[in-house]
Amino acid sequence: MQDDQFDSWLRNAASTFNTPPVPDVDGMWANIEQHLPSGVVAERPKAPWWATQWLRAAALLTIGVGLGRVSVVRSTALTAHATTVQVATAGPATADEASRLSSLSGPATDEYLGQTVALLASLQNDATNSRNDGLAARASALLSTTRFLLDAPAGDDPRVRALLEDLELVLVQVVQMPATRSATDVDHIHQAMTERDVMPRLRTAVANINSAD
Amino acid sequence: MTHPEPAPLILNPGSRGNELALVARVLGGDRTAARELYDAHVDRVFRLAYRLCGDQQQARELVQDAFIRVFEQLKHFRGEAALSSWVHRVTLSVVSNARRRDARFHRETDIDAAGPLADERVRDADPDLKSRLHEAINTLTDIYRTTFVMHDVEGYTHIEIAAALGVAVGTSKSRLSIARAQLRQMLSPFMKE
Repeated sequence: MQDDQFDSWLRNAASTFNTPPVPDVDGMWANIEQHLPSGVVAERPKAPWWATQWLRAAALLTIGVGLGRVSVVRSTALTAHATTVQVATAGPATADEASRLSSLSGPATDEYLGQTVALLASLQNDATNSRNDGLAARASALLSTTRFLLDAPAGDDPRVRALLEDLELVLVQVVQMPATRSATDVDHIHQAMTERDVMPRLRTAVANINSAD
Repeated sequence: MTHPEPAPLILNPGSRGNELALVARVLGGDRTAARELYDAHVDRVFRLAYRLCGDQQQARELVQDAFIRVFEQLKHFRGEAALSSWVHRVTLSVVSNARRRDARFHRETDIDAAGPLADERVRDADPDLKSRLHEAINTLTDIYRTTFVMHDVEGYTHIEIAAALGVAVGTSKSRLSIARAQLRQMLSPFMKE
């Protein structure tokens, strides 16, 4: 057999080598989807420049208010308890608390936390009410705020960051929930919230801020 | 040795601009876009993975691993090559790693070790040359086997193979020639003059 004849026969005969079956496209995707990296599942969208500038200004204001409150507290302590000045000003725990307070205080943050609690609570209480069309929009707005806070100095604190990241995860699920959601869709979100202890931590954060005020 | 080039397949179904836009949407968190990317490539990727491993479950796992890696690495995709070439490159890397890892896939190429094919008793027992060819393909080393399967079985062009394997077009052609020569040598005892 000549080379070209052999090559022709070869290609013809090889065409039946490991003939592929019809792939289970959806089944494979279901498994892939579970392992999608977070960047693919929900990359933080870039905010327009005007929103970014506005948010930065709001963040500075929030932090400024927070730091102001801490400095007032600190100066009061200095006046009233002069003998304990060194402990009050030099202790690293005090500085940490100041940082935490400054990052999680202010009316905007209070409002954000309050709205998040309300939204998640309504989700728990009103599991399959598909008429609640505003839910995704509210969740989307809160998601933007969450991501902003994660990028702001508030997100530097490990405890705050952990809470915000868990909130981000839950809010993403709410945003992506189909309009005609089923009980299973809501169950997945409840499960995520329960596993991460989201609601108790969120309520504690709100209570702490209120008591700080 | 000349042979007609198979009709070129459209390895790159979308324009480069569309591909980059799709990648941007995926990286922006658009799950629908991720599924679009998957749908655009999964059939060819699965076919290739199955051709190379011959096992449905394993092919399924390879495809899943390949796409998970594709999505993990997508932020590094700069668009210098076609997305499909890049996806195939990742797939071939996953298949190659699996073959190295998994003894089921590990078959060293050694023409001299193709004894059973040339064995008179085997020849008498199995006169089907096509099935002998399939056995012989499995004895090729990875580089020759992959090139042969992509070109002669799945119909990829040398340009596509070169892009997917990260080699020169000439290297792809050379590997195909060697693969064919090895197969011919292995099958020659069974072929009529």
